Amino acid sequence: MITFENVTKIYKNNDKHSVCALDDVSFTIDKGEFVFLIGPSGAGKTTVTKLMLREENSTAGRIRVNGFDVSRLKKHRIPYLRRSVGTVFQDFRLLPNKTVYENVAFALEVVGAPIREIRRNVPNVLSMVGLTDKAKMKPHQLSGGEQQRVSLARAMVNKPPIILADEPTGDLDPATAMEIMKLLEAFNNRGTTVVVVTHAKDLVDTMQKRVLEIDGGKLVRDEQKGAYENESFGDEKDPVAGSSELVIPDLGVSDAFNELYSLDDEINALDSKLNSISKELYKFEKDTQTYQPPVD
Amino acid sequence: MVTTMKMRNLKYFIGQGFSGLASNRMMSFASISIVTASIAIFGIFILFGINLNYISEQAIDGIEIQAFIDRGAEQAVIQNIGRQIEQIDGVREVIPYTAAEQLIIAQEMWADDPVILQRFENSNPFREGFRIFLADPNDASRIETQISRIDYVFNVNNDADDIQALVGFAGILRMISFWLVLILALVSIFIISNTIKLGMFSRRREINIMKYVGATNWFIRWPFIVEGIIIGCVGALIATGLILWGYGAIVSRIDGWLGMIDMVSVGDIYKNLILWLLLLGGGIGIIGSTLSIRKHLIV
Repeated sequence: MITFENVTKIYKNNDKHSVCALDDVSFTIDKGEFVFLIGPSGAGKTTVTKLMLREENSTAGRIRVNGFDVSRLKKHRIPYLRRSVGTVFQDFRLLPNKTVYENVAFALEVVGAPIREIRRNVPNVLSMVGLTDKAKMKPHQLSGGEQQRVSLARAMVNKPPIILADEPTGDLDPATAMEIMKLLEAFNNRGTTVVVVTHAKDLVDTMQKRVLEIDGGKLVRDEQKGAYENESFGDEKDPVAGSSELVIPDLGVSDAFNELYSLDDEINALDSKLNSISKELYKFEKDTQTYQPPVD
Repeated sequence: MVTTMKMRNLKYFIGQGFSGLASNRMMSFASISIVTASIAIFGIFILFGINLNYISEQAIDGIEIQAFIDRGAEQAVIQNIGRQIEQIDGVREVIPYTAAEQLIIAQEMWADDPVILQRFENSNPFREGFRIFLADPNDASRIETQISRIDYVFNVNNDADDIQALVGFAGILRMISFWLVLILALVSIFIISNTIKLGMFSRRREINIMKYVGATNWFIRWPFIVEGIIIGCVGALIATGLILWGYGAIVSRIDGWLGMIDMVSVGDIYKNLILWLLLLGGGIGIIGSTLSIRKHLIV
């Protein structure tokens, strides 16, 4: 799903002083994985996300994301790469003059999705993130956690196979941060590949997912069910015990998700049935020319 | 399905274009004013040019040389001179211009002046002559010289020089309007491009999100191009309205005032004028907007 093969990225500054942000980094993330990308500030985490979205191009090496040969992608194909990666940012990046509903719908509108699809998908994804009753509110009327859920809904509304979250919990308190993580996990349980760039030690330790650690532009650790700190160097405490003070709200989202998704499939089936019926009805009307709309 | 989607996109682009204009009212107003002024000035020059061309074409068609013959020449001599003039290369037509005919014209011209009329009563001061029409007005001075060499020819009048001057003036006017239009168009493009830049700056958040969710570059660009086209076309329409209104007033005044100047009527030009000025306005809008988005929209 995501492959970095010997990727190097060198930023050239004007004063000929080059910075090597990534140095010969290789890793593979398979479909359906949940991966934390961690490391100190300036380690090169953001460069990885920028390369994945082709905001920057690699200096050497090869990057593949969801079937796109990213490093050789032609410019006009970049938008199609980005449609397959839902992105979430620390600062939410919501449009302040649009409602929650409009913010989510915006992601579908600008890729030219049919109105029918927008009307169906937006309420669905809003209910998945638990914001159905706040659809008409503006971002400034919401809490930070709610805003991030809107941003998550926007990232997921066109059902991308990958979610890339760059410090999604950076501005949130621990409990809210865990809510967001649980949502990401719920999406992951439905088959979406999730990559989370983070500094949040507690979250990484609690979630027990694969950890990729980058330091000084190099991949220094790739560990399944890893913790934030490399345990071979630290004490041997249970990573979950380290977050014992953290209150993890049990949202029960996973079950709700499965139910919602199956409902979504049912709705799709009904929708296409309705579509064909309305076509037949239209034909019937044209044939007979006697149809009168019902009067209230 | 594809067409309905494109129609929807078109609606979206036009809607966004107008909302861009509305959100940036002062700059939009300034741009439309500049475009209106530029196109109005251009239109005035065009109308000048069209009329000057029209007048000089008419004048060239009617260009004539008048030759007058010594008093006392016999009728046979006069007819012979007529035949000689007819044979000169470049002469299209020769019409006798008798003294009697000239007297009648003079009497009509000074009908209100009894002193002058009295002088015509007993004698005819005019000479027998010819009106000579040319195939090509550029031959006027050569033909004039050739006629003046014929025996018994007293003098030759030629109004071709005035007409040449008129044609030359039309050429100069064309040059001036070309450069003026170029400069005004560049100024308009600059102003529009700045307006669009401001619009893009105020919507940079939206553009940034559009890029992340995978909107194509053209999808992001179109609303701004539409905004530019709207500015250009609205400016052009206002300018055309003002020009046609002003021109109509001038034509009706001049027609009543001086019967001799025949101007092109509003009805003959308004369709072409609207079309060309709209194209110019739209073109300025497109260039202005694409210039700014090309630099500021690196996706």
